Amino acid sequence: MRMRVLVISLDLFSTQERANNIIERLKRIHKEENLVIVLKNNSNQNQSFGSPGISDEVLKTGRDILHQIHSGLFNVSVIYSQLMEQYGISSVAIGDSDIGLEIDDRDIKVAVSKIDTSLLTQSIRSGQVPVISGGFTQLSRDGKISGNKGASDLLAVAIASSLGTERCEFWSKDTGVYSGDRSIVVNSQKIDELNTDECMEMAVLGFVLPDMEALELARKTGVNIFFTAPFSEEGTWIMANRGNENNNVKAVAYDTDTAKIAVLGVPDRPGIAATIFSALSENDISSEMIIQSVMRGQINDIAFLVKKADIERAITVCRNLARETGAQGVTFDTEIARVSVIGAGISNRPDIPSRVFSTLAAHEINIDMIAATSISIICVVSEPQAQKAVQALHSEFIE
Amino acid sequence: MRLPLRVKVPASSANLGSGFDTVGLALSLYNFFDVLETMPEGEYSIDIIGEGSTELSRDIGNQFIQSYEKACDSWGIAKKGLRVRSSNAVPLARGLGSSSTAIVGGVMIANLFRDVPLSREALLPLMVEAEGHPDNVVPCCLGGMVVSCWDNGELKFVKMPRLPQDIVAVVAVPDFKVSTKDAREALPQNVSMKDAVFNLSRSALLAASWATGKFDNLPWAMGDKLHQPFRSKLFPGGETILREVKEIPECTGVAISGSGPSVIAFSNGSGNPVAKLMCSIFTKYGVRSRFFVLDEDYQGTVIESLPGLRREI
Repeated sequence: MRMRVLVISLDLFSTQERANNIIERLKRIHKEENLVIVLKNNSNQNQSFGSPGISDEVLKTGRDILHQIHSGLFNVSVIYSQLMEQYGISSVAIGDSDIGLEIDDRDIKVAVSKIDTSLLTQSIRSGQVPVISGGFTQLSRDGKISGNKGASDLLAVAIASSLGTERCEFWSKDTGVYSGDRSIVVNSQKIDELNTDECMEMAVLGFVLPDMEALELARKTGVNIFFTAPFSEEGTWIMANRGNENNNVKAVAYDTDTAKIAVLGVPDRPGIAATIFSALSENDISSEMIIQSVMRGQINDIAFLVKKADIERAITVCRNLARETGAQGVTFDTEIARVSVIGAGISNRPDIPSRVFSTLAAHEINIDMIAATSISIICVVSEPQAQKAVQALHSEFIE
Repeated sequence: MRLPLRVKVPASSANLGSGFDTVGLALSLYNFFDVLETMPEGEYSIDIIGEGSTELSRDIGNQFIQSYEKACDSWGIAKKGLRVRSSNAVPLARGLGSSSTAIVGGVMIANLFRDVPLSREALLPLMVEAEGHPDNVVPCCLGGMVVSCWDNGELKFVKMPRLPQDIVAVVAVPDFKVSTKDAREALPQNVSMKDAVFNLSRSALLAASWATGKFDNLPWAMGDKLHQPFRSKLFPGGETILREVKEIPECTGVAISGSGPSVIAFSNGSGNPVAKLMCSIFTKYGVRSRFFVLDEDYQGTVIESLPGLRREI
């Protein structure tokens, strides 16, 4: 029998009707396929337990269990496996420790390498659907669900790989991956197929997609990901191999969660860049799009991007660096956005950079910084112009 | 004198609210004027990198050269030609004393050609005369926060104690220019006695508070009725920033920097909340901006040797 590892976002259970429909769909699939379900807390914030998606009976069960435990944390998979039992699907809640993970395994990447699938296999053989609260998704006594949402993705791909299935399916509210943010690009189109390289680039550049480490593991282990909505037959395949390069722009991304820093007039000495980026690294500040200006007069400007969440620490680090290195100063710009076109093989298309820059120029959008990889061209523009830039580029390359 | 050498000149913020045309602060943002070699008299080669590289004159009209020549003329010494590279980080025409850096730099270089170079303090009248007012060039030359008065060619000034290190100067610089002419014309011809007293009391409080370390008084002491109510109307978001930024708990005073359109605010901590609000207001008014988080420069203009080929002149 075919095997499907299914990642389901908890927010899909947001109403009673939705929950009923999802369980019914699972029931139909389970008649023909073996299933492993990995639950995912898709919210950045902890969700409140007791959403309308859980029936009163299951809710009561959950509360009863909460009263009985003393650790303060509880595996949400029990709640959802009981919900499935209610609908006649034989299921079993699998905790992190049941597959060899320990609660102290903070490094999920290390943890997944230890996965023991014997209990999963046993449950599947006996006709049960294992329900896993992936990524240490837990319920606290105060009724909040917490968890590392990226860890669920990674765990699911690791399980798919360990069980020898080539398909890992992600259910979310979207029916697939689209060529642009549908809230601003009216004509964005569903992409049928991407490779993991493209998908990883899109995730970095602003798309909400499976976790980066999950994609990396999928590529390494040959697991294909199908990204879809629960009631759709359509979706987007994220293929582990790189065989689908067609040298076209497939998506236009944008990301406003970024700030630009420029260290001005840095002395042109060996080791200066190492000093700057070591100091940022020591303070756990990731930097991207590092650009050093052409040296003139024994000094350079070094510009780079950091996450907005890191800007406060970056200000302190960079001011100290400017003082220590004898730089002319440091300037910060938080009102920016990255706008990118992405597609495998576009570096083989000499027309694409010129079309990107001409399109932005035609819309009077000034470019602050430019960077390119083999599968993307990234421009930094002012934040208020980001949406216009995305729409213009999408219209130029995809519509 | 051994060439090449570098004149490192700090940015400055004049007025500081109530201290109109009299109070200025040197900031840790620098223009470098590298003098690479001498040339025959009257010949100049000027390379400009960074701020103003597409706008500033590369010939005799360059403010650094004009300042250099004027100083040489006033002392009656030969005006050797120069090959100069100007690396500018101080935004041009934004109220951060960019032109003062050129004036101070030019005079400092001319001074090196004197048989007996003068002290920096002795050079100040020449610099103030070139600029027309003292509150940029004096802190730019000497560093620190300086209170200065200029009247009929006579200069009196006091360099104040250091700003505590836990207070930073956040400067938001919009992508918008206010011409000096507009900034001057925006000012009223006459002011009321009430407004004059308002500023007099606050500028005195500003100087006294800075001198005695009572920095909690800055939000009050930087209040102004002589120039900011008029000049804040000259750039989008100006009035809103002056009104809203001082409400942030970390903010310890806000003012238009120089004649604008940059805005300077003192802040405890990283300065990020203050910077964020200032830039978001500029964005709301449709103006792009960036920001600096600066320390007080207490050293002023310095001349440093440059690595590379050395040349005697």
